[in-house]
Amino acid sequence: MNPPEINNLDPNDEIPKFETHSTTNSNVTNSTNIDPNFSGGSQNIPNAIGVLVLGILSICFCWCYGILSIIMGIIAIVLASAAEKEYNNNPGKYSLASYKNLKAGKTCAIIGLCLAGLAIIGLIVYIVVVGSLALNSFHW
Amino acid sequence: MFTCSVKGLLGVDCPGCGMQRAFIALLRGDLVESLSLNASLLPFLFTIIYTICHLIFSFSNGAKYIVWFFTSTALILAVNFVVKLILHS
Repeated sequence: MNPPEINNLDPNDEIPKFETHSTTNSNVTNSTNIDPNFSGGSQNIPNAIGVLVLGILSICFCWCYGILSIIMGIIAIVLASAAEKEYNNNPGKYSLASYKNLKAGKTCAIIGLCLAGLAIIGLIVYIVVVGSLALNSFHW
Repeated sequence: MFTCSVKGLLGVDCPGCGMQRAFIALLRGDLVESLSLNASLLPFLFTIIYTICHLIFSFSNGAKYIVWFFTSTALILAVNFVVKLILHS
């Protein structure tokens, strides 16, 4: 095999996984030996489920001027970017399914954040329009 | 029931207004009234249930479908909000 793969083998002291998850050749050769973990490592990314749940729940907290929704979306995006950095440091350690969950949670959080931001902007525009109409009809 | 703070202040529905009434109507089994009160409650509940099933059983392409369901829920929420604003003003 190539020397970089041997280099990658050294920091991983766990027994069952050998592949570097990027090249297809190593996946094919390793899937004959070990089949349960052909999709990355065995561990879940920390906060992946939390990011997914926060991102999905951020849409139903748009009452109270959308503040709760924006807070949840920002928390989810910050957690997701931290966990993504953690995943990019050693991608062979974590499972691919939890990485997909993380990406989905981040996308949902971004969509919810955009929606809450649009709601707040619409609210401000409504207040400005109605206030200016009321001020115009007021006789000084 | 919680009162919406936006509606209390401005007298205008927020995008999530009617969700509790829609949920109560859904508990009564009145699907049409639930959809007319807030059309985005049913897709939202479906998304949540699908997410729970995905977290338990871990479907192979589940994360992609979650994103699609969530996007359609958000679209339905926005369209429902605009239609409700136009109809009630």
